[in-house]
Amino acid sequence: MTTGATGSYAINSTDFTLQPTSGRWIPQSILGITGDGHPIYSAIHEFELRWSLSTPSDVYQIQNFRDTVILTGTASADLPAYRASSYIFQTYSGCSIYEPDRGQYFREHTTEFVLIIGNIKP
Amino acid sequence: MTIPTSQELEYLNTHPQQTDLYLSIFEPQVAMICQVTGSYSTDNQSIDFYNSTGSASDVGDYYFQVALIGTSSNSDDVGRTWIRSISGNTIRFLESDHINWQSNLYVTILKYTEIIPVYPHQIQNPADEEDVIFYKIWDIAYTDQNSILGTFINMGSNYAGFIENNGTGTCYWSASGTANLLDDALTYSWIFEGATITGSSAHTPGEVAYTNTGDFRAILRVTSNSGRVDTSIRYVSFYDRPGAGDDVPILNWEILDWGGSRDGIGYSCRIKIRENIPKSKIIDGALIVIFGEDWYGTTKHSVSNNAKGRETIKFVGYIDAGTIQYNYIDGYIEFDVVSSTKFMEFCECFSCSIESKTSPAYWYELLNMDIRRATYNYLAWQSSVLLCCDLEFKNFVDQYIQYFDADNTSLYDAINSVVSDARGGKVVSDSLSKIWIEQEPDMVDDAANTFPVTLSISKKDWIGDLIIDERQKQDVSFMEIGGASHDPATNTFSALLSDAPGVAPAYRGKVERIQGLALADQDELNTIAGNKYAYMNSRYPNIELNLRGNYNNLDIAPQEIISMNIASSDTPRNIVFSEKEFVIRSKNISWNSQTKTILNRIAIAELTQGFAGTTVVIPDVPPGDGDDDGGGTYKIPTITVPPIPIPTIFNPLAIYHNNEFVGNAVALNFLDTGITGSI
Repeated sequence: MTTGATGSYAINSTDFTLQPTSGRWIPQSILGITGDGHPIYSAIHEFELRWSLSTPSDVYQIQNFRDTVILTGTASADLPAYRASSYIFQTYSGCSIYEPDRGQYFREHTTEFVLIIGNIKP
Repeated sequence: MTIPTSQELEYLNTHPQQTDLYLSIFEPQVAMICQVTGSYSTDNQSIDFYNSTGSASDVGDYYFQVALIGTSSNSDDVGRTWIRSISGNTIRFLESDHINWQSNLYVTILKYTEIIPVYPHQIQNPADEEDVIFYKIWDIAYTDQNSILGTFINMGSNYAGFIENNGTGTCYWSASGTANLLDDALTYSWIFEGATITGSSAHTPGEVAYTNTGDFRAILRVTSNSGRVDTSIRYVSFYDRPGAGDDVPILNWEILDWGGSRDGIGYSCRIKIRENIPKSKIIDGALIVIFGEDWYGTTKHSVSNNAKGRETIKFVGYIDAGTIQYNYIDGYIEFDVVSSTKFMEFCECFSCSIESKTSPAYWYELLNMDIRRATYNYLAWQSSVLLCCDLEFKNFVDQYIQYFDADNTSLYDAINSVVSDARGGKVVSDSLSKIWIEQEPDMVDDAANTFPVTLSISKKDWIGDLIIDERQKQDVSFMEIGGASHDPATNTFSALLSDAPGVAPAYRGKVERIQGLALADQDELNTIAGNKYAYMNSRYPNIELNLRGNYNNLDIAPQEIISMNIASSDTPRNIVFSEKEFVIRSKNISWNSQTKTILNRIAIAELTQGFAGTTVVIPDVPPGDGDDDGGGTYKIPTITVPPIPIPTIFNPLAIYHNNEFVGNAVALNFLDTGITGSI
């Protein structure tokens, strides 16, 4: 277990029953290059969580996180800090959760389950 | 003002930036519901009612509030019309012959006034069948309305916002920009429905608090020292923040094709909503407010725009009903939203003809008429525009005009034609649907020092390609421009004419002729001729650039200057601009809800200053075209008076036989002399 604010991936202070296999900050696309050569980016970031193999109950929990914030709600997410000198976790509030992407079933498990957390303002 | 402070300029240069936008559709409260009884009177557009709920006191006389006519309450399945007044158990409407009136129909009166035409009326004078009596709003006779003149009310745009965590939302109210046509002193009476204070008599009540979500009216009544009363109404919507309550604005939506231009007379956009929404909300003329919150870096701040206290309001417009579409597969509804001036184009009204007088006595006479007074007269008496929108003249040098004639045309064309034809102006709404009447840059002398500078731009401010149109040859070689100066005191006018660039045309371009301007004098016309000529041949008529962030301070009206800086090394053409003055002609906005970014694309035109044109002396009689005068001198034609023909008068002979008349004859020839008796 890593150290930091919470030390593990969590939504609304609830740890995932199965911690993701991997996670990453999704690279931001450039909005444009200024006349003097500087790239312009959005203030908003997205984080991708990926599970290579998940049980139905693990998937159910993640889907429930998504369902609670479908339209009007927001969630807090405990994620590796975007800007820190060491590997620590940080709580980001006001996040949105995208509909997860699911891979094939393999022996009653879901493969390549991907969840993207958006609207993160580090 | 749209001129950013030094602090705001710092914000504009701060990245990353973020903007959250929310969509508000104003849902009017119901003032009263009743059922009709008896028959509709076409003489005074009235009908009796019974079984009423609600309050008639919420129905202001001449607010022209919307009335839904239906077979059930809140229904408009029979039609839609507008209320004029309520007295006792009788409702008066604007002319409502389009409703198939029947007993027991429901009338649902909303606390909502929208932009509509209001029809004038005229009848044959019962005392003189060759005379016509004019009325406004069906039966309002002329008394002194065109000499005791009214007021253009400015009270701020419609508003939408949030009730914050402390349980309060605020909206700023001010009558700044309000102007009486006689420059009278004014008194103010505000009514704030739904607010913690009920009203105010201040010019600027400032921040007014609201503690409940909902849709409310703010009403301002302005009384001039001469006794003329004008009213205007705005709408306020307050919502819970998402996640903090149930009464939230529309969240699942997107905005497309969002932009405005001076040539397009205002803004428009297309909105797509992907959530369930009552059919009754998406109707023709429904008020749309897009509001938002901005961050520059970590600082939450919305850069000032045209109206103090409306920094968070990004767009105000009205649904164009002809554009509503449903997509049942993807489950969305979409429609166009247009600003006030564009909506005025949909509203046609009857003609109007007015003459300037020093002592008006009829509806068709107006005291010392100029463009402002003509505009007010038309909009105040033949539309509800001034009830719904701010209107302000800016960068506009007015002149007297002798006549104002508007055809059967749209509300917009009626006023834009006189503004444009007489003073080279244009009626344009800004992003908040405030109507600005300004002269175009080619009519403003020394525009570079008249318009304020809103922003200085260099290559750090744009992204992507910069498109510069460069005019290499003149479009106009010669311009003849004319008009008249009118003196209302003597009711006389002088015809004026000017040529630019001088007597001889330049060697490229077409000949342009403009007539009909209202002018001060010949000097003004010569100045206009030179400036128009220079603008039409400007070197850089169009530059388009994508700005790198959220420049909320830029708008198409009122006109302000962007000063451009381009170094020689910035373009292969080696163009050099150093604080060169340009004016915004169009602005397009794109908002990405995922990245929460607003980016602007603007088109700007070079400001120019010409040299004065040449006076053309208008002869009392036209020049001749004969060989002897070369067509250039004045020739008084000889009037040949033809001889007066002398008619031949015949006195016919009357022929009698036995003293009885039997006919006439011109002459008789006698064959022999044996005739007896008399002739």
